[in-house]
Amino acid sequence: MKQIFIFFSVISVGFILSCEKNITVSPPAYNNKVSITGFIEPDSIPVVYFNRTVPYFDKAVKKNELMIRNALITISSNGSTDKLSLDSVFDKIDCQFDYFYNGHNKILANTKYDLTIISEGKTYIANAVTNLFAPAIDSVSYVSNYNDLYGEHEGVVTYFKDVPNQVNYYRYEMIRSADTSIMKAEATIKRACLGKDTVTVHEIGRAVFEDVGKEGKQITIIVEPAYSHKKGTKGRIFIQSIDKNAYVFFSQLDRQKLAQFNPFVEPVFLQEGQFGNKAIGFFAAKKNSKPITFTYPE
Amino acid sequence: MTFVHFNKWFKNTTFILVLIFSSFEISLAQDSLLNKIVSISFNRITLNEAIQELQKVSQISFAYDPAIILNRRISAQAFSAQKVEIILQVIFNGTGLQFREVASSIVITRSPVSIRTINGIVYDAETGENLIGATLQINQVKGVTNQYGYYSISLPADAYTLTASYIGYETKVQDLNLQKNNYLSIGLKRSTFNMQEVYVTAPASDSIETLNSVKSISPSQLKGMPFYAGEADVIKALQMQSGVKNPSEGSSGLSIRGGNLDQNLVLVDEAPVYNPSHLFGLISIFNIDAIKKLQIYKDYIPANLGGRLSSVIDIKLEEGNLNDFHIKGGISLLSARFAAEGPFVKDKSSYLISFRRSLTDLYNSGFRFFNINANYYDFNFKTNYILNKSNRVYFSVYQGFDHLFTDNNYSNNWSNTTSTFRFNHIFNPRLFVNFSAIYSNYINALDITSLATINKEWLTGIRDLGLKGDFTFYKRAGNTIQFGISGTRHHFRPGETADYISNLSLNRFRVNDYGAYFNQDRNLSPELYLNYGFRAGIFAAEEENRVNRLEKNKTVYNFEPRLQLQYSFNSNQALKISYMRNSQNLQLVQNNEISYSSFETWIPANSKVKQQQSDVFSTAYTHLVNRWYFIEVGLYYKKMYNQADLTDHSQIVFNPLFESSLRFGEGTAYGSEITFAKKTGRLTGELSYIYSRSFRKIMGINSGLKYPAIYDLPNDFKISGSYHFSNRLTVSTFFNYSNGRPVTLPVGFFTDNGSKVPIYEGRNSSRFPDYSRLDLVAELKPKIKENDVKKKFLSIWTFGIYNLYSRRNPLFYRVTQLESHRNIGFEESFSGVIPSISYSFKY
Repeated sequence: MKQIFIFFSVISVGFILSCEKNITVSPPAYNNKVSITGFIEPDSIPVVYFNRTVPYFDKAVKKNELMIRNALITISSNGSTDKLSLDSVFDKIDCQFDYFYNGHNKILANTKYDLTIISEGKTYIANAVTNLFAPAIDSVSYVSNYNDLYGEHEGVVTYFKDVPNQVNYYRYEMIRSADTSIMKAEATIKRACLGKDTVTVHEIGRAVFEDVGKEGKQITIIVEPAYSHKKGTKGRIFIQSIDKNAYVFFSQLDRQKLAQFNPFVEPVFLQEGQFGNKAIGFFAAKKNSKPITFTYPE
Repeated sequence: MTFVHFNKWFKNTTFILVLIFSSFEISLAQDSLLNKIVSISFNRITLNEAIQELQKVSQISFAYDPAIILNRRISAQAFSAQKVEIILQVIFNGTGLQFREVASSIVITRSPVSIRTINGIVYDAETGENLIGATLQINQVKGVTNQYGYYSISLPADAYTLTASYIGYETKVQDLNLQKNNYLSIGLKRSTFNMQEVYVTAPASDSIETLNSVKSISPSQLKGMPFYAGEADVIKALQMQSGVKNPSEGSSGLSIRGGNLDQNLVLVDEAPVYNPSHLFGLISIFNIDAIKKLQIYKDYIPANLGGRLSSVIDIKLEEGNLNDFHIKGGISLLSARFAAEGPFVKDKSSYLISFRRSLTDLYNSGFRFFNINANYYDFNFKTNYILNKSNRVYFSVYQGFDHLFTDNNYSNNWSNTTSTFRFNHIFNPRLFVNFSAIYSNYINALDITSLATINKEWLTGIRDLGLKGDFTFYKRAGNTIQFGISGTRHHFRPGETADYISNLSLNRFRVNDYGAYFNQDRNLSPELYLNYGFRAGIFAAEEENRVNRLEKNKTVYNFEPRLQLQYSFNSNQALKISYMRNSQNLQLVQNNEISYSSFETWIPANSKVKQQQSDVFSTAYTHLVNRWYFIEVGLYYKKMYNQADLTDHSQIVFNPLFESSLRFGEGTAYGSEITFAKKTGRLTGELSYIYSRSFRKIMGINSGLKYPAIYDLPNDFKISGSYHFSNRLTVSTFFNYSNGRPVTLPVGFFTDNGSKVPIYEGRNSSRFPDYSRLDLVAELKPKIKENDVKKKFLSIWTFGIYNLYSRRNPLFYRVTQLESHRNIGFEESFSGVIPSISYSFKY
């Protein structure tokens, strides 16, 4: 993919006698929606992100400009209701606060949960069931050269067993530490907020996987690392088992991100999900596998 | 039976009975009037005067309708003691008149009608080349030469005056005594020197009858038009025509009446060309020095042509001078070209060879004129041999090649090769046939191997090998029948890596494509003209799997009726109404974001890809005012079926599954066109305004809701004009304003895990800014010295300014994020004003 993208970019940028200027196209009026993303996992506190979306070229891009305060967010199950509270953590890499709504009660397994959000006169409702099984990771390895449809890259290889007798959807996650000596997407992490600190980062796989045709069998996924690494860099790898609502959403996002900066790929329209045409996002269950430690060999 | 009818019947019956009995009586008579002996002389008097003189001298009564006696003179003659019968035979010879004795009179009537045919070739008297579309007029009957300069007109045996005319040539008038079939080849002289013919415009005889569905552009007209970097260009010339839209700046694409780019059939000497562009689409593949005639059918396509939904662009290459050797060529900022032509055997066989090469790579080392290295060339060769007056053969070859490469050794090469062998045969004066063997091969290779460890070459292409026979039967004046059959073997490569068996490749297709057509032109009355016909075909696709085994895939059939009626109110006003159904058995899968041939591929109708069809209704009113001004008002409605578009996130190259990303639905296009043109005089030009819309409605795209096609440019306004200051200086200009093309832009965004995710709410819901451009070009002919006239050396300097007021019309957009995380978009466009200079010569 990278090679194709570079080639196309060279053509695009160097198009004969081309010149560029700021875009003068006026997109049609945008009826701002909200975005809702929330995972619930047994034995964890529920977390829901509730933000506004803005016109594409809008100047409002900081997280505190996008967050929606004063929303009433509840998660209910079996007659009990957990009212979520606005919370935040400082993201040292992004150098700004990250805002979200936090629950107070741990999520139970095999339970149906209803999410209700009331904000600015509108109500958003969705539900999820925590009945997922986590797969077992067999092993992990590393390849320095891996070719797929999109070109050549290095990759972390994870082998795990599909949970039998049900439809499953999976996503990759690696937790590792990062500092300013490493790079993300070919750019060095800035010191402005991070300084000499080391922070924990989550590398979440862009792609999501369905177990179609691999029922109960070993599945292999290869993921290109998002952060640079050295020989001996360690990380903990999980395979997330996610429900269908999350899978559909992330699957669209994966294709969306690929298309976003590539004019040669048709854009992706996000289909209406659990919240209909009122909101973008999902409310879904997930279940992480047991982690396995991985050490980069180079 | 009424009294009036009875009266008429009684009179007729009585008259017939009188004639019968009178004849009986005469036959018995011993002393016939015709045997009467007289002496008489005629001194270049008219036939009518001669009869009156004979009546006076012989004292015999002559009965005739004066209307049938032509006002012609007879040669001076003297008859001494000669029978009246002999005298009449001499003076009526060749007039189509006969006589007989009835009672005490001699009755003169027309001879029974016998049909005679005049046929032949109309050619350029200087070069011997056939003239396509030359007009022949015999009294009120008109004929037009076909694609090989052939004509045939059948009329009652009689004496006529024949007029032959062709734009840019002197009209030829000659007497014609058509008592027997006559083969007559007519040589027309150019009105002026070749390179000055731009001053010659439509002759006075070019009335409404010839302003029909086909639009012709001559090479001299092409040379006088403004173009990018001074390179005269066929496709760019078509983009300046009314009803033809250019989807984006710099593209060689044509959108005609809301149709897709692939819905135009481009033919070079009957061979289809699948990618008519050089240099990213900036230039078309046609060398102006090799072109004889360019014709475009966009309103109505007669049944002898077809295979596409929107138009047929028919390009005929020059055959070469049958009499003398000549060279011609030129140089512009983009390319240099050279051509030579002459006779192999004088008056029997000629050739033309031409070569053009870009100069862009030469600039690179010094000026860095292009950011990407690119060069191209093309080559044409054509020859013909006249075996005898009934048989002639032609052979033509075209090859063009483009090479694009970056400093990182990425490359993109594409080439078109076509070859046509044709055999003309005249079975009899009224039956003309052409047999053609046609080869066409298009291949496009995108190579990004240099940075990839595996071979990353992506090949697409299509290769055709076909045979066809076209018959033209000239039944009688104003009644021509054409019919033909064809068979083509297509070989499609929708997309594959250099190693075809890899998983990234799509299966190839081999297709047997058979067709037949019937087409008839009829003048139902002097005012009413009818064309009707149909095309029928079978398109059988076989899929070739990776081990080269063929498996039957799908067979589709097509039947395409069509009809056009034209009513002429008088010689200057006409109303046309037409309907046609068109089918297209192949699709060009295109990226909506940018038109670039390397990201497109041709695929045949098969089990996954549907056959395109359209129903087109159109009407037009045309008015030629004072033979100077031409006005046309037209309306059309087009319904298109099985229009393909790509689903979200589709990518064509290196995607073996892209066929599954195609969705099919309906297209609708409609519009009104107004054209005003001035055809003659120092100032000539055309002004046109079109309001049109084009939509698609495809399940699986845009939530199944109707959306604008990327060619939906509602308002399109064009002005082109030329002012001939003198025989040496002509200044031309072209202006175009249209709405910007639709584009799919994100309307909003949200953040997910730190990334900004765009939100799209409608396919093609945004538009680029309005498009406009003004070009100017001046053609200056150096003063012709006496020595040059002797040598027949002609030259032209052309100075041009493309995009005079430096309008930045966008090609495409791209978006990126600033460090502040704000999204920002950029428009990529050509630079502003582009001056040019070019030089052309002919010797």
